[in-house]
Amino acid sequence: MQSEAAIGDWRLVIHRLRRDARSVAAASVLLSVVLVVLIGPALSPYQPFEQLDITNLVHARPSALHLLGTDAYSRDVLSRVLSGGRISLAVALSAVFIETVIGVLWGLTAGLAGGRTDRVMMRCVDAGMSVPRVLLLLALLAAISQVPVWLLVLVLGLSGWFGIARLVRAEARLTQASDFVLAARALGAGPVRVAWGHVLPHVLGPVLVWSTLAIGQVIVLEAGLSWLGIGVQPPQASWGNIIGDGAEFIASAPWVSLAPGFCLVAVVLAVSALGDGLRDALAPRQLPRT
Amino acid sequence: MRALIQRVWHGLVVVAIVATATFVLVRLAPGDPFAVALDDARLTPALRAQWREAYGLDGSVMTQYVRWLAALLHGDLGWSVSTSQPVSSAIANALPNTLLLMGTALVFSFAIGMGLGAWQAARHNRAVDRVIGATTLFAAALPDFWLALVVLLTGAYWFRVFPVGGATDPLLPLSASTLSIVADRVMHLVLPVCTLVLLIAAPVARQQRAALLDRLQVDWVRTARAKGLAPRQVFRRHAWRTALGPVITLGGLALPALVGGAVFVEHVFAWPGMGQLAAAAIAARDYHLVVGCVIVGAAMVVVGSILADLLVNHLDPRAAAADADRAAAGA
Amino acid sequence: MTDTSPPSTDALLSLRDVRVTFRTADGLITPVDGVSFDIMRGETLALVGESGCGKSLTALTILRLIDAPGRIEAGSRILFEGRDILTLADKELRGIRGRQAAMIFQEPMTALNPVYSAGEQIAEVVRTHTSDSRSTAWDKAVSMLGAVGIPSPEIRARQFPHQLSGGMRQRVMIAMALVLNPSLLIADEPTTALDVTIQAQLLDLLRDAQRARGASMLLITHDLGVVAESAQRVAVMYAGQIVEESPVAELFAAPQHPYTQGLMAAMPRAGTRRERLTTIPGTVPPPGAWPSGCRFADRCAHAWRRCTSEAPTLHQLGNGRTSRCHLVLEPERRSAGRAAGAVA
Repeated sequence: MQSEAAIGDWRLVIHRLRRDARSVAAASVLLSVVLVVLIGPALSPYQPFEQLDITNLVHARPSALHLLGTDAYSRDVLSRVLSGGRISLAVALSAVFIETVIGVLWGLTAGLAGGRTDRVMMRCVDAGMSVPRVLLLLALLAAISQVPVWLLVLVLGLSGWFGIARLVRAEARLTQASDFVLAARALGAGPVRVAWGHVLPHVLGPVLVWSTLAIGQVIVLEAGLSWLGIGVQPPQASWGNIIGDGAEFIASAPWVSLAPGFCLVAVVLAVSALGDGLRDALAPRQLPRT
Repeated sequence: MRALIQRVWHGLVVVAIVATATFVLVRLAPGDPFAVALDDARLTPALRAQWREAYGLDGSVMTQYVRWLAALLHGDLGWSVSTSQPVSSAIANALPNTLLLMGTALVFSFAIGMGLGAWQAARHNRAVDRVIGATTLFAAALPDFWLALVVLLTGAYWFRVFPVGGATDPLLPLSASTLSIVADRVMHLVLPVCTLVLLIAAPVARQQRAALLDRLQVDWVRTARAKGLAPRQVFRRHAWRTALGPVITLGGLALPALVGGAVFVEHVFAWPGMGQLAAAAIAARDYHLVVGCVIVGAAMVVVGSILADLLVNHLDPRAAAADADRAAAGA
Repeated sequence: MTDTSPPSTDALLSLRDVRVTFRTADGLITPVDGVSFDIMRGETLALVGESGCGKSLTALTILRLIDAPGRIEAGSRILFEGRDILTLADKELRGIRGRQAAMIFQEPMTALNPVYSAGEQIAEVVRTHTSDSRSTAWDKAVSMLGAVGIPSPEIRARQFPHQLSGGMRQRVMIAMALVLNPSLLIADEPTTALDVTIQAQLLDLLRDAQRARGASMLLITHDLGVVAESAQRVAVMYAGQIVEESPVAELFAAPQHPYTQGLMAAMPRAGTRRERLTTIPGTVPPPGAWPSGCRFADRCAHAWRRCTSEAPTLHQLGNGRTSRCHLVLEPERRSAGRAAGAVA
């Protein structure tokens, strides 16, 4: 799958994106979430760690005072959700950034080097892709009692670059055989220049699509890990651990778990829709032949 | 045939890499079973050292690795400290449960997913297509553990129809009839399978729809119509039959994610499978068991993708030919 | 502009005023705009034109293989063996397809299903229309493969399309079309995707097979060389309409319509002293942008005011020849001294 629009055509891509209702809706949702999560905590009357009234306000139902009710420790759920949103999004973005960088470098190197190097590098990628990511993360993180956020990000990033490496390597090999690269080589361009100037622009499109979709995956993954207790550590909220806190009381106080859950679903949906929209904008599907 | 052998070989290499990597990573983490579990002053360091030696946890990581590898080649996965049994027994108890859950879920997901996708393609761009499309988009975006919670909430708490967790009812007498044993098992299966089906059927439906829409435009479908075949036959033999390949390939590629998702689902429903076992092993720093679980997990994925590839080769002779070429070229 | 003569009942196939429209993002277009012709039993009619002129669509229309967003417009008439194709029930239409009228498509790689063997695909036609058992149908498929000149047909029948060469695949398609002895063969550019040597072999094969069975053929092509070899009559299409029709020899001896003349002049011919290939200046107008007068006017060397304002009708010239051109009525307007279409 080659991107139809190389880096020079970004304006065309953005134009197509703007015309796609689904992408516009998705982007708006994401932007609103980001805004709320950034500004919200400053505006919220309660602190996310603040235990308000442990005798009376435990598991209070949602009301005008507490829009999303309170949790088992009488903390305001809404503020926790906002604060958790910040962390969850930050972790996802940073982890995806790391994955993308590693994956692109690995894929480019393997694809352009070819031969034995390529085979060995790809065997590693195969191995990585065969391991269920969750198991790998469990194994890495559960050994440590209080996982610091930077380590979480690092580990998430290190466990997720395989898919993109494979994608980039395939593109690199395809592009490498194409005429303009051969021409560049004939003009004396060295491998780094070829990689950077010629192959990379072609690869950027699919990489961007992949990264967008990866953000959704990582958010869910971090939430899952936090829910199990090995992701973001309390008292710092994360959508995952709020759900975890509420899981036991799912029958009596469902709002604790349901609220962050809906936020998760909304963000992942928006991210997936945006990714799809990007994919379409980069390589519009052809009309049926008549 | 040659391609198959090559595949199996590659699979083994992959599992070997995974096992080694896990082994090393787990060992690098601080702590061991004896530091965590037994915080008793009466256990002198000497005693701990003795225990370590007995369980093969002394010496450098390298020596441990070599020792372990030797044992592995004899089929011995080591001793599980937390469950006091050989790792292979612990896994042997848990694996069938996971296979039952995942097997059932896979069968239903593919059947439903492919059916939905085909229905959508046949009614392309009409109301049915759009509604199902939106639903699958939604379902594909749901976080697995959260969906499991919601399903549990709905099925076991709000509508008290299904049991809250586990695979069997511990109170069921051993002398109960086969029918009630089977019924009990089925009742326990329903909620977790429903969760997994919701998660898996969605991407399957999306892929099937895309593959079919693609195939319906294709020239050989036009030839089939020009030959006078009835629409149903054209759809079944020429469109659907050629759209199976991509869907199954997707299944093969998605196996790791599936196994991972099963971990969360097993946790929520307290299903005594590999996921639960792995999580417990990690919490207890039971190295051998952790490594054993990861190896088995990777092996399951490898076996699954080999099976998927074989199936695709059977269905599409071009894929089989491409495979044979690759094998001959020694790729 | 409509052709109001009734469809011929003597002819095997008779088209009258066939019009096909497509609804596109930019509006309604009419890529086939009032096509009429007859094909007698045993004869081959070649339908010639550049890509985009509507000839393939015309072929698909005969078997009602046009799908949404395309539509065959009311007012079109197609009679095959006396039966009105356009009002036939689906089931009966399917009985005709593949059995009495069969199509051969252009791209054998994509026109054959990649997951079934060659033999299975031929047997499929047999089993669809007859009550033959699987083994009888298979035997018929194998013998048909032999009849179209494929060596070791029993082995080839078990092979898949990707294992066969382009020429062989096309032979398989021909076998599929001939196996039930249809009275009409519709060949849509059957040799365009293949190389010249194979082209000649396949055309011979088609011609012989057709003659042996007394079948008629509609041969669609853009290559005048193919026409000369294989057809008795020719219809030239341009921008959705037939612009000239004639028996083959007469067409090559004295083409009447300026477009046909241009096509002839553009054929590279060995033995001439020309240094540059002649072309027809300009390009074919796309179906959405057809001018109201003669559609060829802006590329025609002889065009005058009448041509751009009034669309010409198809004039009879006697001898079974027709031409859609005002020059038929005003021959003095034909500008001498400029070879039609030569780059000045």
